[in-house]
Amino acid sequence: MSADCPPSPDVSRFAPLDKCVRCGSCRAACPVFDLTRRETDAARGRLARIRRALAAGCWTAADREALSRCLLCGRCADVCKAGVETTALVQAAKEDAGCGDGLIGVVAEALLADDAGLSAAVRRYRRFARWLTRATPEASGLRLRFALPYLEAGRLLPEPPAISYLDRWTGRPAQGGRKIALFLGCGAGRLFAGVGEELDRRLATLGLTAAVPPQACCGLAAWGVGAGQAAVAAAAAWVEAFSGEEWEAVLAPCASCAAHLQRRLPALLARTPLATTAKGLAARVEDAHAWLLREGGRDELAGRRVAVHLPCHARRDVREGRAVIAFLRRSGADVVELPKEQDELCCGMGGSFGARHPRLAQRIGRRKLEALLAAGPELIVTTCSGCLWQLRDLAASLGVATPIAMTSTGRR
Amino acid sequence: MNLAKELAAIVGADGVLTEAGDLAAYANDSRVEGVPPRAAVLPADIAQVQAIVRWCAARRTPLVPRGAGTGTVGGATPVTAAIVLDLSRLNRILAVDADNRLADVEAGVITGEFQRAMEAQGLFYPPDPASADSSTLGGNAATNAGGLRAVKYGVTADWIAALDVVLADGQSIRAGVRTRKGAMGYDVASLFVGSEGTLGVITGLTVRLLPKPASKETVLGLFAELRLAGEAARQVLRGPVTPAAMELMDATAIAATQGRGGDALPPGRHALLLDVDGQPDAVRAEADVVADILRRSGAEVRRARERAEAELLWSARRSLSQALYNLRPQRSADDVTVPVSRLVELIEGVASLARREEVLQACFGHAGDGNVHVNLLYDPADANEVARVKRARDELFRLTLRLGGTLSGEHGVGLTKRPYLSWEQGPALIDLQQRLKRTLDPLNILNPGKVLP
Repeated sequence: MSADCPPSPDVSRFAPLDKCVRCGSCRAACPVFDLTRRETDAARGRLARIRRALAAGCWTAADREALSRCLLCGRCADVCKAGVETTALVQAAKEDAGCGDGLIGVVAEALLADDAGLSAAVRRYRRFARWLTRATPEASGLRLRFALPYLEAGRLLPEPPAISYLDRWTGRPAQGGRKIALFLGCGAGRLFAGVGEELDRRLATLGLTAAVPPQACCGLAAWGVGAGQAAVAAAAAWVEAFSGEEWEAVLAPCASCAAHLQRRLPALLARTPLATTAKGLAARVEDAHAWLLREGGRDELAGRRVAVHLPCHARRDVREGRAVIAFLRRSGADVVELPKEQDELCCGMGGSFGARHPRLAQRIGRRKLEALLAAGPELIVTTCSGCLWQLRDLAASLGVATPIAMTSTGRR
Repeated sequence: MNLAKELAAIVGADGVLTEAGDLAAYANDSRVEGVPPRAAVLPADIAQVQAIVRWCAARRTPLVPRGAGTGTVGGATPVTAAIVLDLSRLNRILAVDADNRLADVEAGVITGEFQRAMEAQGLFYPPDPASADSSTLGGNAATNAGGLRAVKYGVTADWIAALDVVLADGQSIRAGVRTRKGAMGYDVASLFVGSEGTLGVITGLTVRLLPKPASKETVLGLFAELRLAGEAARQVLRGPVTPAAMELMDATAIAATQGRGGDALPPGRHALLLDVDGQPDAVRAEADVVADILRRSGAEVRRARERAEAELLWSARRSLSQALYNLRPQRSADDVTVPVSRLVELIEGVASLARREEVLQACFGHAGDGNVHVNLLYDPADANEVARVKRARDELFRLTLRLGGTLSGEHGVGLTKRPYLSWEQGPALIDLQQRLKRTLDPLNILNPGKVLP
């Protein structure tokens, strides 16, 4: 992890670097720059770093550390007047620099350490790590997202359910005459109770039961940290899990999982025998709220004031990521509008960012949570399990009682 | 590393960057490539800026002040193993005095964020450089940045009441007044405006404000010939209405925006885009007057029916600089400025010199100020084309001076205009500036190698 390494000879994926005209518009858009004010934390500075490393023929440990300070939220790409897909460049650099290498297995390492003299926080972390190794598949992105610094910053660990939704329902067939499958994702499927159950209730009003095929991780967390091979392996496992039957739609309550599957599955598997299947499946992955909205599903939220934290992936990557707002409105909710700048603000979790840079993540997240709370909602809804976890953690540390949920009833 | 440790003692460890990848981000401004500095330092208050300047003075180490690095002439580009003083952390709006229409700000406040913060209070900070979404008020002052609203409201210099400046010996001064006028002593604040960090480090500003105009209308004139657009701009300024902005865009520039979010501007013609602002009734009447002048000058006139439509037009205008890279990999971007009455001669002259040297060119810019951004587009890999651009650019400068203009309306001198200062200014004037520089910065540590020959 600490050694320098040369860039791969194929630099074609860094070609878009040349499109950057260094205007600096990305600076003011970056939530990390907003706190640190370092050029090197904004996209323009990151691209300068990548250019330098490619020219010098060497990725350093400092490069890996600096690249991990990007949320991949994409706000820089949104404001880029030259149309540079900055997040794709940073991810490619992370992969090329080997950022993911040292992260895989962090959880297992924590378990191997000697027990003597550990702080209460570290003991708590080890209990959680034991749950992680027992209750999640090895490829689960959750394992990349609970590095030790996270806890040292005084953050809370979620309380895993005794029996998760996937423990209970994996293997359930579809009923009601339509071939609908659920992909919960690691957060909603294993860690946070209630998401799958709420989705089931919504489907039941349409007379449907969705199938729950055996499933692991979408691979987004691995992709985000630059663990390219792990991301490809996760993608392949995902395709194999969902290719057994001809699904009409695969519903994902987590917009980040859905975005990753829709947008990257075919590319990740392009050079494998699964390429065609992956393409077909990616087209059938649906943001669960988008599908429910189209099919006439609804909830009963008459008169309830709801603030929505739109995950970055819902905002810019997933198809129809804003559908959750229309869904809530159709369900009778009074959905509050946030000013554009606050609406676009990332929660600060950013995959493994929250684990690697917990204090920065907290400061970014607090701004977003305060903006959401300022609207005086009875309920906060977000459609990503990473955002959910981040916002709940911050709410708990601030003593905020407003329920925060991925599905609309706000059960905690 | 000794250097890092000593600087960290001033600003804290997280305010000093010395790692190669970090420094790569500080080796240039938005257009001019230099060398990585020895360190980038991010002070958080004036006392820290003073300490850094003293540290540099004691070691004769060159110091390059930097706002957001959005300049285009190399003003913030280090050319030696310097210390870059990044003022981004001085980003507080300290006080807003609505009664006296003043605000006290630190130098690193982002201009666009300041504009929005003032508008939220019913106030208005008029200077509006195209880089406003990222550039800083301190950087705007150090370059005397212009922008889109200069035709009616003037440039940054016109809105500065006072400046906090750290001098080359580490002393901090406040020059200027908090009153509407002031006549005590020399106008020292003005000396630092546009000095590009060569005379002192601007750390804070007291800027003037206006009440926010209640209403705004946007008028677009489309012309078959660029000459007609230039002539129309002159006619508008001869008329009774001073537009808040009047921007010229030639057909080449407009073509570059197509398919890049700039589709609001129809291709194939040249455009004048105008804003009129003020009280609602007056604005409507004034927009009618402007539209009428444009029509009589041969334009097809369109008026934005709602704000969103106007925003699309302005956003297309703001995207022009970047969009030009769609046409060729590189551009020279000179902000030559002539008296408005000579605008047509300038754009016709540019067309003919570009034809002569067979260089693709695009003109856009602030027609109301006679400030045209002349872009000569080329491929840096083509040595022959590079040579033709160089000749065309020299010819452009001679033409500008013949028309009674100046070689930079708003970008400044920095590195790239430095060889041309003597084209425009006489030896006695340059000598005076050199003596000023020696007096204020006898050790020559402040942004050496910039502005003056």
